[in-house]
Amino acid sequence: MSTLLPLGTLPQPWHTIGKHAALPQLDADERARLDAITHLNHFLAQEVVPVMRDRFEQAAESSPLTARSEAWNLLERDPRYQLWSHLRRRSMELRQQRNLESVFAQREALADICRKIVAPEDVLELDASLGMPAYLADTHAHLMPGGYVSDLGGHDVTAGATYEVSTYSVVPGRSGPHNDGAGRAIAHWLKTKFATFRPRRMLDLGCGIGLNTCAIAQAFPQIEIVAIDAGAAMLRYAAARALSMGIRNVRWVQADIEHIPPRLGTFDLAFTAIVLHETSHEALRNVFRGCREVLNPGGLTVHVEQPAYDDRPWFEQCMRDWDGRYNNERFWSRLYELDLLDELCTAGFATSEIFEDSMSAVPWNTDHHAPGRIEDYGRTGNWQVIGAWKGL
Amino acid sequence: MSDKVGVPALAGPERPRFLANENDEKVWDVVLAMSAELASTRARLDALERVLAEASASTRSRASRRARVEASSALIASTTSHTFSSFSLAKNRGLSGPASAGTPTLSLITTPSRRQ
Repeated sequence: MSTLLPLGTLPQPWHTIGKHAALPQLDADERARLDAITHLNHFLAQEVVPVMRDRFEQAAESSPLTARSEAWNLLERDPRYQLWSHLRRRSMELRQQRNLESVFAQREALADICRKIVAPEDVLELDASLGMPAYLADTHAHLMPGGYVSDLGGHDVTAGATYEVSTYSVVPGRSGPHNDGAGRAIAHWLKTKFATFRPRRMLDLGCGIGLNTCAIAQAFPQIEIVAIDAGAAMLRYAAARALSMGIRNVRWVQADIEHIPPRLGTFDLAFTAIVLHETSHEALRNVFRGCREVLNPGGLTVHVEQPAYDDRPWFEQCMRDWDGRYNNERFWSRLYELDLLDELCTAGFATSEIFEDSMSAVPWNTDHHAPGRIEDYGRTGNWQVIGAWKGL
Repeated sequence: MSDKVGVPALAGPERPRFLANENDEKVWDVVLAMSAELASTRARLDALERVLAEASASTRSRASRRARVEASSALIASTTSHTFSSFSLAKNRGLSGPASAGTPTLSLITTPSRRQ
């Protein structure tokens, strides 16, 4: 069991990550470098952003803003913002490059470990004929070289292993040792919000390496979960990771979330966890439509994402927008401008059955040690929820 | 598995520019890389000092795992803070003003004070 620091004090060191058999091994120097980059991001968020915000708000007083583009123009003139942005971008790049180098060097050993874990079990379905969605293949999301769907062939797990190392340090570590804050939040939310809802089959769309899938699978051990993703290297790693954690009620299927294979059957719950910002607007519409098609009567679809921009202060909008502009999140900005409830309606869900809510990560959402801690926008465990019931 | 496989070393598309002078960006890249190496060196030194301290202090209770996690994190935080402190000093010095009111201090390296 890892020992974790309270939220808001300092970033979790790499060695507090939840261990499992497929986890890449970092040597002492690699861990220290990764921790240093994590701390730099913490420093930029906690020490520099408040200064930038003060300057921004003072400047905005003299010339009131009416659009985000004006806010960006104002912000980008601040030399402090320029340097902050440069360091933030480079720290993201450096983290991904270093992690990829570490994982790439041990890719054969990792592939072998994962293959041996998964081979005896019938939990992984790959589809070599799957046509990769262009918007995924062309995007090196979160500045991960090669993107989420890169596959070096054979039993490769490089993308999956790199993803786990990188996401733990991006958060950093505040989503729990297994980086599953959203999954635990969804499970808790389902059990408290809809206590009488008894799903028997769940569909997780865009599961990645199953960080959140595993948390939900552990919370609902009697339920069969089908987790789909386009990336083969992600799924090989996900299956091995889950099995090594003792999780056997998940079936990992390579598929395009826009076109859910009919052979997977129907479900009582279809959900995405922090996935929609990785999809194009067209894909999002197909996902919502697909969810409705695969749901059983009385079934539920739920989608958890970062909060929409709405009427948030201009400075906060720019900070949230930064990932869309400079962290290879192509669809980020557009998503948070959309009316997702309206999109659910367009997908065919009845207006009366559509709802919105919010959820926070548990139990890392309170911290008495750091009152007034500055949010590192887009990386804190507070999310919006949109969902809909399919009529009986 | 072939040795010929590879993934791009850098995510595309082209890097955006944030600073007016491209050479300034390169200098900051070097600083960033060096700060990570410094953190690595300090972590090694810290590990050696802990081994020596624990070996020589048989009557002292061994540090708890939690204490070591906190110490590890605090060590890197102090390295980061010392390295980049000039970046956020304006807040403490009351220098913050309109974005157009002059260039903030961007000089980087401060000499770490001796810590007891």
